[in-house]
Amino acid sequence: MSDQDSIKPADDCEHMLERVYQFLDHELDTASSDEIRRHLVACEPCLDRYDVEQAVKTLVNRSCGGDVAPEHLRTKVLSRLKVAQQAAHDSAEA
Amino acid sequence: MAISPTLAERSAATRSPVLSYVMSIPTSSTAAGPDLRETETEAERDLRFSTDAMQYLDQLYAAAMRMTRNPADAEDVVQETFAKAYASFHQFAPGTNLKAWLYRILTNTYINSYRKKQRQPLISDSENVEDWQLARAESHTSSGLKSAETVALENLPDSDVKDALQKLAPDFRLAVFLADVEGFSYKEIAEIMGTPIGTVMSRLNRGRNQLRTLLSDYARDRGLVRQGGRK
Repeated sequence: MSDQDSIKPADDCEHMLERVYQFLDHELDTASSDEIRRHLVACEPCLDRYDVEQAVKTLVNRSCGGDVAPEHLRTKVLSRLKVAQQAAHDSAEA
Repeated sequence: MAISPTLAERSAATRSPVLSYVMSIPTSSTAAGPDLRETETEAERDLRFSTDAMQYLDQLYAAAMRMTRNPADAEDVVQETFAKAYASFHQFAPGTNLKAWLYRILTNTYINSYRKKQRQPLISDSENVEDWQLARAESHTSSGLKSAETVALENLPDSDVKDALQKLAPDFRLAVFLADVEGFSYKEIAEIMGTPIGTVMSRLNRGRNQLRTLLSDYARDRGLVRQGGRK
C-alpha cells in the first residue's frame, strides 16, 4: 500500500454497490449522485457492474410491460361497472 | 459510455406513467379549490370514475399478469380491482395519485384472494443466489468497453426476461415491476405495497440480484456468453 492515490479504497466500491440501485432509480440527491459518478469514472469494475444493472433494468422495462387487456375484459369491467352504478342509483332513490 | 442515467433515458422510462398520471388529474378540481366530491352529482362521479380509472386498464392488466402469471386469474384480479375501486371511489381525493391508488387496490386484491391459492415453485428466498452473485462480481476485468455480460444480457429475447421475472418470489417480482416497468418512486411503491421504504429497497435489491443471476444463466444457455471470454 505504498501508493494510496492510485488504489481505490475498497470502501468506495462497497459504498457504490450499496447505492447502485438507488442511483439507477433516481432516488439519490444530487451530491450523492455526483459522488457515485466520480467513482464510476475512476473504477472500471464498478462501471461494469453499473452497466449490467442498468441493462437489467432496461430489459425489464422493455420486456415485462405493455400487455393489452383483452377486449372481453374491458367489456366485462364496463358492464359490471354499469350494474354497480345502477344499483347505487336504485338504492339512492329508494 | 454513459455513466449516469441520462435525462433522455429517464424520460423514456417514465414518460408514459407520468403523462397518464398528469392526464388523470381532473382539471376542474385542481383549479376549483373545493373538493369536487362535495359538488358533483352521482352521475358525474360515475363518469369521472369511468374516464379516469379505465385508462389504466391495460397497465393494471399487465401488472396482474406478472402477479398471477396466467390470463384467467389476471382478468379476475383486474375485474375485482375495478369493482372495489368503484365502491370506494368516494374515498379517493381528486387530484391525488389515482394510478398509485388503483395499484394499491390491485395489490391487496391479489394478496388477499389469489396468492394463497397459488402454489407454484419459486426461487427460495435464501442467501445462496446473492453469494453466487458476489463471486461472479469478483471476476471483473478492465476493458474500457461494455462487459461481455452486459452485451449478452442486452441480446436476450423478451420471453426470457418475462420468464425470469416470473420466477421471483411475489414480493420481489412486484417491487421490481413497479420500479422498472411503471417507474414508481420508492415512496409510491411503499404506499402501494403497504411497507416501509426500507423494505421496498431490500425487495428491489434481492429481486434484482436474483433476476440478474437468472438472466446471466439464460444468456449462457443461449450461447450469448463466450465461455472463458473474460479472465
